[in-house]
Amino acid sequence: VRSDDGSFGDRHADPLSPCRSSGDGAPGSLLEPSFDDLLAAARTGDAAAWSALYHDVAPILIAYLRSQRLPDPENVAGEVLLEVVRGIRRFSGDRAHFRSWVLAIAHHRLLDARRREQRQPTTPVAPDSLDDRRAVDDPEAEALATVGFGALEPALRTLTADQRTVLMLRVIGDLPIAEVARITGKRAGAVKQLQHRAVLALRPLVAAEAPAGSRGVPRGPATACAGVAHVG
Amino acid sequence: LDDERRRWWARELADAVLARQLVAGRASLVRPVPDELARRHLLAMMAESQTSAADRAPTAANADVDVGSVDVTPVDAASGQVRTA
Repeated sequence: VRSDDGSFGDRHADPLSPCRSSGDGAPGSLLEPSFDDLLAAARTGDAAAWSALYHDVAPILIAYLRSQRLPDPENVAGEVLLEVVRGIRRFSGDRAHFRSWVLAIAHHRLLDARRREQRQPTTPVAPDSLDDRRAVDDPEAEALATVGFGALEPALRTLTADQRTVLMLRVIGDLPIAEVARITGKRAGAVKQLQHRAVLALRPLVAAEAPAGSRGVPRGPATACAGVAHVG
Repeated sequence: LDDERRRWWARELADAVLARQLVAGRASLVRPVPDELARRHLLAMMAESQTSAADRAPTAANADVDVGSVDVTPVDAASGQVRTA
């Protein structure tokens, strides 16, 4: 709700406290400000607007970075978010474009991080010999850091970096082929091919878990996936 | 939404099992950000927002100058005479 001073939310509330959306594309209530209003308010430095944008996009941003097995996804996410703040005046588009834009920045940060890793290769060290440097007063973050891609994680590790990137952008970002192509700088056909190869690689690895007859595709009319931006 | 995603991916991949695992994997990764981390990120973002606004301020101030009132006739610094080409 927009207040008299043009900011969003309860002016008495801490604007930096969680006032989250689901972070999962769930449509907002009618009382929530439009995305354009949020964007306009964020451009003026409105903390509540930034908080709303943050909670919309950060879960997906961090999930994408974590899915790419970056050593410190939260810190890289922080760098991405600062770029978002610096670039917000140049951005135009709707909520879906905003997510895509943030993931594009994240993808380029990811490539930078990988280049740095290649220039400065690390020496493997046995985990037991390391001090625990993780903050011990943040159990939520600690628990989150151990989360992987569920039962599929071992199979995903067999994919090439490009295959994994395409699949993660599509699945986590809910992005259509064309957007993934734009983000990765590849042709749409190449993205489709990478996805196809990823699926071919994953299929035999998950086949063993499938009960007989469970691989079928559910029948019924092809309905649009609400809040999911697949069009490719 | 995850049901929709599962159905969508099952059709896209023609594989209900893989679709289910992809969507379950997504659900395990896409989670609300822990409060402490969110606060840290947002504080940094607000600081950056203020810095960006401060950086823009001189530019905006310059843009607001009424250049129509500024005399830009070239004058010789030594003689004070108007220079001609």
